[in-house]
Amino acid sequence: MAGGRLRLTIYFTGGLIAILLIIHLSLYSFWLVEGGYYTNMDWSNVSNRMRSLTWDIFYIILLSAVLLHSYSGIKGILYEYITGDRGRRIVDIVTTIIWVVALIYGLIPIMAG
Amino acid sequence: MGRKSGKKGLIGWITPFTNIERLLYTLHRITGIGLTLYLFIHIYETSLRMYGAETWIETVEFLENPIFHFGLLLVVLAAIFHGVNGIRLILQELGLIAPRPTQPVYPYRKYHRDQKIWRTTIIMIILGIGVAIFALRDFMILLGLI
Repeated sequence: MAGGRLRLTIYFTGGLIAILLIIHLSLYSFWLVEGGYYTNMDWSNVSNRMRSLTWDIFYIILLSAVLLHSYSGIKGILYEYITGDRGRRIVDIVTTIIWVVALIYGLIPIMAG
Repeated sequence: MGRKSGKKGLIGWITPFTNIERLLYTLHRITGIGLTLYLFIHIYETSLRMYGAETWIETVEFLENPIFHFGLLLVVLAAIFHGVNGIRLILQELGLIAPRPTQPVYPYRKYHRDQKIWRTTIIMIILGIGVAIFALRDFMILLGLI
């Protein structure tokens, strides 16, 4: 089980994700309309949303929360099996690099609009 | 006491499930790792939007097939389980639905914890099924079944 600070991070970001994900998933839900279904996943909807500052902020918060949550969760699991100080330092460095790269990679399209 | 004492390692994940919490613990970890892998793919896939409408439309069309639909269904079900069980863990940690877990000190006291955990688990299963039905409806629409 992850340590105190790690666990609190997991719980806090988990609660936040639960709320934000409902909005995210509802947005891309399929709605029955006459003669088929309607979805917001087409290009005009996606590009319009990405030009909106509100949605930019929404996605920055969602992306950061999800990445922080998964970072803490995976690190917590690895800490259970890698118990040495040197091993844990390597875990810290490797996971931090991977997740920071993912965060930057995810932020670029949001910022690009 | 050494750091490793009392630990079963990865074998502990697949130890015959003696109680519901052990099963939920294992499923929570498996779904968490799976969702993390999906997250990285999802970040890459959505970043393709940067290359313009053509690339985006090509990507969406590429993903429009039964294999990816099935994969997405697994992701959604994993997310529902992980989310609902996560809420259960938060509520339990806060002591709102069952007494917080404590160190087993002799003489062991049998709380009503087991019963409460079952009750909570049943409520969470009902909540999970409710959300899953809503998600499955999406897939049925997508596959033209309704």
